[in-house]
Amino acid sequence: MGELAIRDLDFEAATRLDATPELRLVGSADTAIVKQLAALIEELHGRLVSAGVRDIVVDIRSLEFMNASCFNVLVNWLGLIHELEPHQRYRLHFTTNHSIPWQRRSLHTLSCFATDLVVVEG
Amino acid sequence: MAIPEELVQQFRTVAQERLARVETAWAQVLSALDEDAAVLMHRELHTLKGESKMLGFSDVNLVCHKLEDLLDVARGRGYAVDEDVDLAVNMALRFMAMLVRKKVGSQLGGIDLPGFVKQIDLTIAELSSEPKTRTSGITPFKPSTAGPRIPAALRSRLSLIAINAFIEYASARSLRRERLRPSWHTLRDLIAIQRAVIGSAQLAKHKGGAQSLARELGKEVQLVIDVASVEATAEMLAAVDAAVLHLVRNAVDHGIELPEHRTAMGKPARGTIRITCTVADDTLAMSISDDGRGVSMEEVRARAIDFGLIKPDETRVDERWLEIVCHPGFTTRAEASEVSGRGVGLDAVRIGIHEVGGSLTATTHPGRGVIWHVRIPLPKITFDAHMFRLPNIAFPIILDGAWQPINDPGDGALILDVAQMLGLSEQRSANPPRYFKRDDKVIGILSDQPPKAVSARRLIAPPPPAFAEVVIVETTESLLVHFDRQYR
Repeated sequence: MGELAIRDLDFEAATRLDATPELRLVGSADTAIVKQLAALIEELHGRLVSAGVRDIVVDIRSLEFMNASCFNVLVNWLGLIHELEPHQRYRLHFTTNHSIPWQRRSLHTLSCFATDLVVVEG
Repeated sequence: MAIPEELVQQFRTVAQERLARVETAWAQVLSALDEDAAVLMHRELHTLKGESKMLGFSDVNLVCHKLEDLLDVARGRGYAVDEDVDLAVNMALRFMAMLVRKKVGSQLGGIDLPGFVKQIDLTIAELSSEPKTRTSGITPFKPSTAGPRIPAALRSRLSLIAINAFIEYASARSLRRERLRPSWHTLRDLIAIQRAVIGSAQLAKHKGGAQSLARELGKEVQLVIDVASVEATAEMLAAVDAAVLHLVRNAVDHGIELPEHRTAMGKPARGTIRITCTVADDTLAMSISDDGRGVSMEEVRARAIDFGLIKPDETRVDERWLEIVCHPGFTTRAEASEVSGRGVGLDAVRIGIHEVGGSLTATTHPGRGVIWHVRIPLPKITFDAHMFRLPNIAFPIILDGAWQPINDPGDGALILDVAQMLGLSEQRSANPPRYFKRDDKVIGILSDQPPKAVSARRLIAPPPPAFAEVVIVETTESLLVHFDRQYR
C-alpha cells in the first residue's frame, strides 16, 4: 500500500499502519493543507476499516495550530466512524501537549461529538 | 400530539440547508466583513431556532440559542475575533448538523450536549472579557514614545523593506505571526511617521531662550510668534525647531544691535525677531525675520577668503552669501564665543530642512535685518480613501480617495487581482471588477463587494517607486497600494 503522508512547508502528517496504528500531525494546519488532510483522513479511514482496527493514536503533541477548516476534517472523520456498524467502529486516542493552549479546549469540544469514540490523553 | 414524520423530514432538510448557508455566511463575514452576510447569518439562525423549537428538536434549539449569543458578542466587536471563536462557531454548526440527523427523542449516545454547551459558554465569557481594540488578529498600532531618530536615507531604505515585512507578518497565522510580531513592531516603531503639530505653542519655548541670551549680551529683544497650527511629522517639527533655535540665536547674537546703537539709528531700543508661518498649496512657508543690522557682505567676503571658499580677487559675494554662511564650519567671528562662532548652526539648519524635503533661503538688507525663509512641503498624512476587504488577504487593502469610482471603464482598464499581485493567492479571483479612474488611468479591482469610504493615516510611506505604503484605518494596519504605479 502506498505511503499516507503530507509534507508541506509548515505542516506534516505521517501514518503508521502496523499493530499500533498512528497518525502524527506536526506543525501548523491551515487552509493551505485542508484538502490534502481531508483526502488523507478519508483514505486512512478506509484502510483502518479494512484492517479491522479498533484504536488509532492521533499524536498532535507537535501540532502548534489547527484552524477551523482543518478541525472540521476531524469532525467529519468522527462522522465517518459513526456511520459504521458498531462492531466496525474504532476509537481516536489523541496524544496532546498541555503547553499548547488551543489543544485542551478544542479536543474537549471535539470529544463532545462522540465521547465513546474520542479519548484525550495528556 | 405527535409531529408528522413528513414535517420532521422537511425540517431536517431545511435545517441542513440553513446550517450550510450560515457556515458560508460566517466565512464571508470573517474574510470580508460582509455586512449582508452577517445579517443573513443572524436571520437564518434565528429562524432555525424557532423551527427547531416547534418541531421538538430541543437540543438543536439549545445549541442554536448559544451560537446566537456567541455571534451577538462577536458582532459587538465588529466580528474581529480570533481562531478560537471561529472554531467554536464551526463546531457549533457541525454539532447542530449532527443533532438534526438524530432521531427526535432518541438517546444522545456518545454525544455530550451539556459539555458542548459549556465549551460555548466558556468561549462567550472569554470573548466578552476581551478588550475591543483587536482587529483581524493584527495588533492595533499604538504610536510609541519618541524613539531614536534615524537618518532620512536609512529610513527610506528601511521603509521599503517594511512594506514586505508587513505583508508577511499580516498574512501569517498563529505561531508564525507570533514569531514575526516582534520584528514587525520593532521595524514599524523605528520608522513609522509620527504626527506632530507645528504651531505657536510648540515654538513658544524659544522666547525665553532669546530673551535670556539677549540679557547676557546686554541687548533687548522681543520674539513675536505668529504661527497657525499645522499637522506635520515629528521630523518636520524637529527640523523647524532646530531652524528656529539657530536662526533666533544668530539674530540675537549677530543681528540685533545694542540698545544705544539702535536708538542712535532711530530704531526702537528693543529689537524684534518675528516668526510667521502660513500654509498654501500643501507647503509650509515660515519666515524668521529680525530688524537688526543685516548681513555684512564685507565681513562674509573677508571670512570666506580666510576659509578658502572664494578667491581674493572675487570682489562681490552678494549672489553667494547664503551658500557661504551655510558652509560647514563657516563663521564671521575670529574667535568663538560662548554663544556662537563655532560655525555649526546654519549648516545643521540647512541639512535638517533638506532632510524633510524643504528649502532654506534668505534675503538681507543692510541696516534693516535678515529674513530667513523656510519652505517645507507638507505630506498628506491623513486622507480620504476606499477600503477593500478581499478574499485571501488578511488585512484591508486601501485605495487612495483620489481614485473615483466609475461604471463605464471604456477601453484599456487595468484589471487587478490584488491577492495574486501580492503573491497571496495562486488562483485568479472570480469576482467582478470594481472600476476606478484617476487622471487618465482606469483600474478594475476584482472584488465581490464595493469598498467602504474611510479616513486613512500614513504610517510607513517609502518614496516612489514603492508599490505600497502601510496606513492606519481606525486602529487597523492596512496596505495602501499605489495602483497607478502598476501601469507600465
